[in-house]
Amino acid sequence: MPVTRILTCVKFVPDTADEVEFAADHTIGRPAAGSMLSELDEYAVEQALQLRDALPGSTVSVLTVGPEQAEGALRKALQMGADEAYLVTDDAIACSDVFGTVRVLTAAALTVPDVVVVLCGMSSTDGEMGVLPALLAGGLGWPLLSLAATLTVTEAGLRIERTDEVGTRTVEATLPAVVSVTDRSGEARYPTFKDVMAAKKKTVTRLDLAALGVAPAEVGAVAARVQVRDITRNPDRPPGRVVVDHEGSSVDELVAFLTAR
Amino acid sequence: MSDIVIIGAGVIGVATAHALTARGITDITILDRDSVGSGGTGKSAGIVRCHYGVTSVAALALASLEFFENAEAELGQDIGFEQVGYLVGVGPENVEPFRASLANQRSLGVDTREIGHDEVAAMWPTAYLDDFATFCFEPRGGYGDGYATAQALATSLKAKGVTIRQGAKVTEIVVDGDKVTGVRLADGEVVPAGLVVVAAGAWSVPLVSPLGITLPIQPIWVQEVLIDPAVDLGAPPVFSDLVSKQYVHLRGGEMLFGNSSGEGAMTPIDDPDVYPSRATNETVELVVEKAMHRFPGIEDPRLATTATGVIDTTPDNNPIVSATGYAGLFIAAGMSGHGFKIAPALGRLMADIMLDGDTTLPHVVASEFRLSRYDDGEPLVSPFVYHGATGIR
Repeated sequence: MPVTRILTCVKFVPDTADEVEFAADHTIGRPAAGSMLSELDEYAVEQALQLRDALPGSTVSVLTVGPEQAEGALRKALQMGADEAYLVTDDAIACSDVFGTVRVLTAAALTVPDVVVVLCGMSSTDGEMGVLPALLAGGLGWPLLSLAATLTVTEAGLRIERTDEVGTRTVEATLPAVVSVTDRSGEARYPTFKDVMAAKKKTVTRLDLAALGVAPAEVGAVAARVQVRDITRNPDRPPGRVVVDHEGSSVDELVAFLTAR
Repeated sequence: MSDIVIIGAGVIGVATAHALTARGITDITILDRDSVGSGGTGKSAGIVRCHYGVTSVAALALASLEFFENAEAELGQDIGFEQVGYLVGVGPENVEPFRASLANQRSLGVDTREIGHDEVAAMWPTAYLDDFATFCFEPRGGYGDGYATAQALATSLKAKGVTIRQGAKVTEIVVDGDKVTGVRLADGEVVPAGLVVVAAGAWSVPLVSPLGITLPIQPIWVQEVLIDPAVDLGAPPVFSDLVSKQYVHLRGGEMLFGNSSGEGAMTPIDDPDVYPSRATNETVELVVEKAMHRFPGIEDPRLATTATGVIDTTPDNNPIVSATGYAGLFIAAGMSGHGFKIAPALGRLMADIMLDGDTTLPHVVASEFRLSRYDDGEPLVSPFVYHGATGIR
């Protein structure tokens, strides 16, 4: 059985539970402590691990693009059970727009040998654009199975179910293919102790633009066609209204409040 | 005007108010920038024990234990106290100070006894115990729920006529010469008061610094790791493991692990509001290594989640419960991680100091907690020093 790779793209994002900090150039701060594997990407890692069981001879690789500390996202995926990881890091990549990021990921997916499936989460939890899987499929020239709630192996390739307000669509594609999975695809597993310890010995391969054959001018701020012009924080929510009860007086007040809504 | 304003509706603030009401004083306003128990209280691991080397602190813990045991009857509400017992294990290097501390604790009335490996193996059959020299067991210990306790006390206080204002951030303590007259809130409102207690944890520091009062309180970021044992472990006692320097207890079927010293245990931070809400990979790996060593009988444990919080630590790892150079201004802060388990009695100590300048709590020397002890070169430290442990015993 030939070795095949399931490549899962993940992102190192600020913890959604913490206060987000923006730099003067409108980039989002990603401190080593306080950032994490995007929760939506955990679903993709989970589906990759399940797919590995369904595809004999396959292995799961995880890939991210980012600064050195982005290794934190890869380590978490390795703890969950991924076999190996790739970190593409290069100063020239900083401030890339989604096209720049996709350029790098496309090159990486073609550089890592034997990739038959690229798995992605449905969106990042910081940028929240949700367009990357489609652009990546376009870049690779591979079919896209987007927003999968279920993922199964068929004779010819992969089958997904996509559920929306209308109903459920069953969609199939041949391999190689790009798949994005939703947060309805199944809870991500807890890492076992054995996997946590094993992850310490797993390899994280570092790649730069030269290794991928990508010119610095193709990525980063110089190539960015999308620019964040301004960031305005939402105003603080006004404090809640407290209704004080005096022997049942609050009932009318509550009814009036609810009626007004 | 309230006679008394307490800044901070954490477990220390509400316990102080509770003690004041027990002495017939109800003209109290508690102010919190957020809500009851929203600071350190809500994040406490909630361990309840009396195993302290400092006599006054052990005595506070014992008096607090009596409160925890009777709170449901007294307050009419469940405070979440689970009396599963408290177990300490030490290595050979600590047997001598350990036994001396136990003798001291027993002399104060603490129910604690040295037990052997067999008894511990029956309590924690999944644990590896060969690297411990000896153990002690407090049957009355266990763990509680800081948030539930603060809420229950707050509810009881309101029924007694105490005012609790949430979302009321104090920005300034107002003084007239060397006498406190009230506090100013973020919206400019002044709440007048004859007595003001600062019980705001690490956030106390900037409240009193404009008055020239320096609180030697360092915010420390603490990380905890929750583990799913994937099997039912029953209700074993809280386990303080002084060999691996960790504590563990079961909560809702999950095991909560904390590092009591060493890497990943205590990280000083600048701002008590700015710290990551999840543990680092390094801490997770460290906890997993320690847990695998200590609990080989748990076949396939999994990492569930992590939690972090901040504790307000003083140079001697003991609280500041003190008058100040300003008449009517008092401090109850710098709990150093002990806050929850000693809060009920510490509230009483604060109330006693406010009203009498001293306390009638048995075996508690009020002056040992004074702020000036650091300048006086009289830090509050245990005479029973454990090797390799932080000064929290």
